Amino acid sequence: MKKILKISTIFAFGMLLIATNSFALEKRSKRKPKGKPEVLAPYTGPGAELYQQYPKEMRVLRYAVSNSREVQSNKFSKQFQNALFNSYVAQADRILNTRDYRSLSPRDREEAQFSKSALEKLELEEDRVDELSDRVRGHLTRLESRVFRIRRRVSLELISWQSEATLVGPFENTGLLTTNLGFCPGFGVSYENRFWALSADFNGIYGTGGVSAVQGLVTYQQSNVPAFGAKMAFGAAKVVASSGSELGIRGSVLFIKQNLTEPPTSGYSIEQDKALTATLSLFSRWRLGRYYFQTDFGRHIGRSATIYSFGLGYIL
Amino acid sequence: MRKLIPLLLIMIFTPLKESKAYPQFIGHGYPSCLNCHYNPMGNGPLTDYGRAVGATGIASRMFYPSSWSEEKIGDSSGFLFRKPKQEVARTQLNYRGLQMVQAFGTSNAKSSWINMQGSGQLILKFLNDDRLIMVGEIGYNPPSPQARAANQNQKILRSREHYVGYRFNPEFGVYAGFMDKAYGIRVAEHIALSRVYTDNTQNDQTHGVMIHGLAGGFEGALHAFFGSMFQSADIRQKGVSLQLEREVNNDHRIGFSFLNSKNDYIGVTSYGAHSRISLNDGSALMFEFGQNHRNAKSGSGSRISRYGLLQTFSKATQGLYLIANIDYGKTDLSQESSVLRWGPGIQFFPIQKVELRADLYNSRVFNENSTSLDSWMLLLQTHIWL
Repeated sequence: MKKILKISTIFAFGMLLIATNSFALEKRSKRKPKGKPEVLAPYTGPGAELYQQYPKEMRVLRYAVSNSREVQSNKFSKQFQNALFNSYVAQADRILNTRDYRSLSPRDREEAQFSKSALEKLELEEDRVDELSDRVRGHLTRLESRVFRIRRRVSLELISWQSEATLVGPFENTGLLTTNLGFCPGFGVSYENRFWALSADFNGIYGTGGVSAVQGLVTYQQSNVPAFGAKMAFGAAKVVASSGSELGIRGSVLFIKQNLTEPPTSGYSIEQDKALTATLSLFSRWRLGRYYFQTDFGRHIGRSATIYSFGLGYIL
Repeated sequence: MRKLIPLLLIMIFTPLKESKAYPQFIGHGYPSCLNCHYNPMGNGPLTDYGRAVGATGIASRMFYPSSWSEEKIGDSSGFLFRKPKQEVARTQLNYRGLQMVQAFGTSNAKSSWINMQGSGQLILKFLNDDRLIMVGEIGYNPPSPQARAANQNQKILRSREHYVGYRFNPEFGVYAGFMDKAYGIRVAEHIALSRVYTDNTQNDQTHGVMIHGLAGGFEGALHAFFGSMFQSADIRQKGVSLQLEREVNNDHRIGFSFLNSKNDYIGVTSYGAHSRISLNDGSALMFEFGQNHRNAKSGSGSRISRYGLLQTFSKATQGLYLIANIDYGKTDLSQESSVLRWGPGIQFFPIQKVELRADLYNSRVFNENSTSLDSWMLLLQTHIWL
């Protein structure tokens, strides 16, 4: 059982690592990206003609928006300002009439954002721009939240399960219970959006367990019996927080091989449960950036024994 | 498990009517207990602000008419649903009862109701920004099962806490009197092994002086104590404890605790590390891991214990939280046995001043030389405060 202490210590450091790493990740994400500036694809949507008709004005506004500089609106013709406003209305209208987030290119979204920022710099139709931009932002958030994405991840969990066997004697049979503790490394795939997640996970299992029973004059005891196996799990979950935390149920198929030694006393033998079992469990994933903490708590179908696991994962 | 579902549904839909500020409310953007409690380390009576947060930000709105504004709900968070008319005195009443089903799901299941807490609190506040406070709480002391079995008389009422606090400024305060020791994460579960092993359960308050400070992203308390004066002098634990947290990225806290005390018979040293992580939208993850050393002067009874606690809270909707609780303990490192208590739970604040909670615990003993069936326990808790 010294192992459980080591495991707990590793786990403790893991949790502290998560907290400090998320801090580092967020800090990093606030830094300006290094290297060459991003080259945007040519824009062909509403307002694209402004780049031909008013190249100088557009250049000045682009510079002011990207460098957070002030502009004097009286240096821009009324005609240009009206054209810019009309193009923003057309861009917003196009976005608001879109039902599929993927039908909008990043450039479409960027251009609408630029038009809105440019109009704010020019202090033109402020109330109408604010109202429109709120609607656009809300609509984009709703559309994006419905988009399903595939995520791949790796995990390492601590797993514990109980397995049953029978000590068959000449006069009676005695139930044997093995309590196992081990590790469960694996990988998984999720198909998820902001509301729902479907997942498939594949894990290897290694653990050890002890067993003891007394039947008449015979005492059967074994400790540190190794167990090897694999687990395949399919789950469905509800995403419950904007961080992406999930709660759900899943069904798993486990194959675990653990050979209990036959008793040396003649007339006695061991009958073990099938190595292949199915389980139904409640599971949760608590996401912090690319790291997550996972718990799984379930029961073997058709048996009374419980199986649970918890551990850390990383989204690739 | 099938038997559990109706019980959970009953818990959810029972038409009762907030909340205590718990450490997991870091997920709501409240990393410090000082925001909502008179005691800066948490626990005990809520401030007016804490009561209003509980009523408007924590509890469900399902039983309020839609015409009720947040301000109106907040105004009804005072004692007996009234807005306080003066600034000096505050009163609160608290009740917590528990339906405990041992051996849940087996033919030997045994159910009992426990009145865990019934208390009255009086808070007196003086000076600007309530810089000087006096807090007192008299509570019902349920007789222990041992005392009940032996037909022993045990005091029914006891002081849960009474102290005076003075804040020199918002960043620094001194508190003197009878209160909980500053140590670890003050989770609500007094049966958590992180609280049991370190002598920080519901009846472990001590007389002493605590200084509390906030500076440069750190928050901490140093507590010098000389035991409970309600106990005989020889068993009073005298010593010092420290709890220090560092704020990480405005949302998260990592920290450590240390406690050293002794009486005429035994010396106790505890230390641990903890973390409270905000997952936004009211969800949080909390973790604590530590050790406790007991050195008995007689020699027998000396041991080193180890504990671990992991709790996840997920806000499913306003007022409803889904919980995973993992509690690990090894009472004596020189022995083989350790226990892992694990279970899902639901915490529901259907309306302000009412908390309903259901927890299912599975306890598994790990011992290489012997095996035992898991034990199951169902706890259904009702908490009301006025």
